[in-house]
Amino acid sequence: MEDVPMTGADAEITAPPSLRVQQEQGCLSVFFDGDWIWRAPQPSLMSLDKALGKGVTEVFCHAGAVKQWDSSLLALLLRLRRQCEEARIAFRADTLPPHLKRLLEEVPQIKPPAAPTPEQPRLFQSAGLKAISVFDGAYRALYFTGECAQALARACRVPKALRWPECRMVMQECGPASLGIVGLISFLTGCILAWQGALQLRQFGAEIYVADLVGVGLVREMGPIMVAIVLAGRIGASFAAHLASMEASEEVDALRTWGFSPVQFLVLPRLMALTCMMPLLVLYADLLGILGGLMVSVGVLGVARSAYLSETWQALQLSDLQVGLLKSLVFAAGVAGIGCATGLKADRSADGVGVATTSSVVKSILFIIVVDAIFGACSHT
Amino acid sequence: MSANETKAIVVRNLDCGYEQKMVLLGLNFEVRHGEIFVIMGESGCGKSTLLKHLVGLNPPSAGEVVFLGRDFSSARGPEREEIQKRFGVLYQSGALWSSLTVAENVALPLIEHTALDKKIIAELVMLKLALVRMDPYAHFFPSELSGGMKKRVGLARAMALDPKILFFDEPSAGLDPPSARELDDLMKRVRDTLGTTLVVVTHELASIFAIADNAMMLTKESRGLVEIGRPAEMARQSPHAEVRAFLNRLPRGHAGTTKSHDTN
Repeated sequence: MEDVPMTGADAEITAPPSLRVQQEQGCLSVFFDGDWIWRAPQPSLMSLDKALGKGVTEVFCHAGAVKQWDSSLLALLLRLRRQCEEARIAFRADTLPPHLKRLLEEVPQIKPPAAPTPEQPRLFQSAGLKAISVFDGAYRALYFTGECAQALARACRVPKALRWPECRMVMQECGPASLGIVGLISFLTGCILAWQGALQLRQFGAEIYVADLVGVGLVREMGPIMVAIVLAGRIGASFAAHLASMEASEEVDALRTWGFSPVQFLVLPRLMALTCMMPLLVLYADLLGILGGLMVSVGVLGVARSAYLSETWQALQLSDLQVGLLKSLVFAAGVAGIGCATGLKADRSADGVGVATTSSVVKSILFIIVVDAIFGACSHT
Repeated sequence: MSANETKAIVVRNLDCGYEQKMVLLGLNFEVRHGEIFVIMGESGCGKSTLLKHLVGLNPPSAGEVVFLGRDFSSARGPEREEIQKRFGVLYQSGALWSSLTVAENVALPLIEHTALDKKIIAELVMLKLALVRMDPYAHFFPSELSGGMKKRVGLARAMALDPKILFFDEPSAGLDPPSARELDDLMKRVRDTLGTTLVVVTHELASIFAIADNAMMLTKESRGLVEIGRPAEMARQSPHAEVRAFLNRLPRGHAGTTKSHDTN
């Protein structure tokens, strides 16, 4: 019999693969023919599977007519051999070409390991685990806040402890590089507020109060919230992804082994940069938002420009600005802290980086809304 | 049959590098069917860059790469995909897809590129894993494996479509000596049992001497290849001092054991 070696992926198909079964009493002969290459259309295995169940005691494989073959024939023979073993049928491969036989012997017994069955969580067990994870998360958040406070105190005592070059680089990313997106969103928010407000106020002939609505609404609420949400997506997520990648590539471990605190080295510059930049961005967003409201009021509602500006000036109080800026400071610290903390505790894998990034954005937005609600509740009591 | 078809790989006048920075210029070499061909050289000489150009991750600035008689560098669309299925790559870290199990990693190319029955694919996956002795770990995730195990699974995945050519990027990097030896033996076994051509980028001397039929030495200074030959012979009697120094593990600038034919 001709010993045809295994064909590689460059083989040309001359005849499609086929198999034929022939049974004589308990003896089943399986004849393979053609080119058994995975790129060729594969024959059905039904006839073979059916024949095996009919009192067969011995299976003979004949592959002498096979012109070319690759792993697909080998896999089929392995499957047949296992079926025979399971059904206690003798499997005879003596007539196979030596190359094929050798490869069959190379992998004598492959038994796919049983897939691990995931343990079904019980109700009390999962509730308990959830409670533990909530407490654990709260403890870690508190611990991280403490570490940040400690690092900040150290930076105040020893200004060299803060890595200024990194801080400046992050400031550039948070501030000037975000002006475009923050400006556009704030301007459009001002336009939308003015338009929606005008629709209601027009019924009472009070279009001029659109200026109050836009001014106070933006400076107190919408400005800080919109900027914080934009930065949570743009900057908080990038902090999380960056730190998670550093964790995955053991850069954070290297810092620790050198005795550097990752919080001091990585978190503090980001925290400082975002906390410095967010209030400035909020001021910029307030101005652009008021400009948007002004353009809608003057262009669409026919309100005089000077009247709009003087109404805005009268409506706005210093306390509105103070509350807005205070909120922006808290939001900045929260977004930076959550981004960094999520990145630092990420799993060391590509998945871990993705999960940390998503989780940081979700947590940051939740934080922003909850803190804003607390501010709202406090300012009315 | 043309002369090119008798070779697994033919590289002609290939320039390798990134935009402004060309690392290798006018490279010419051939790899025979069924041989283990090692690309060696000091760190930074462009070994991995050359590999990226060979497997098509970087487009060549000039020159051509011919696999099994078909020009890969100028091939586009379906023809390029067809040629890509004829070679496999084992990356330095294994580059397993972390969200898939070991078996799923090997199965993915078979599911995407073949019309084989699911049961046959499952059998093929176990066969490839058994060839690299990783069948007991079929349901493990890559994060649960050691570096050597990841590389073995990476090899099983690279072999999924029965390629005629396999590329290895620094296969011994990060492995303990027994694991590196096992991988060397495995590579030889793959060549002997399947007749696959292996192109290995490495600077591990033990591996080079253990597996290479032919080796090509690249240097930073020449921005190209200095010599091609059998490693043992090159170590003894290469006319190039840097080749002898490299293969005899001597400090740079050392003339090596033979000083008679220095050309530099």
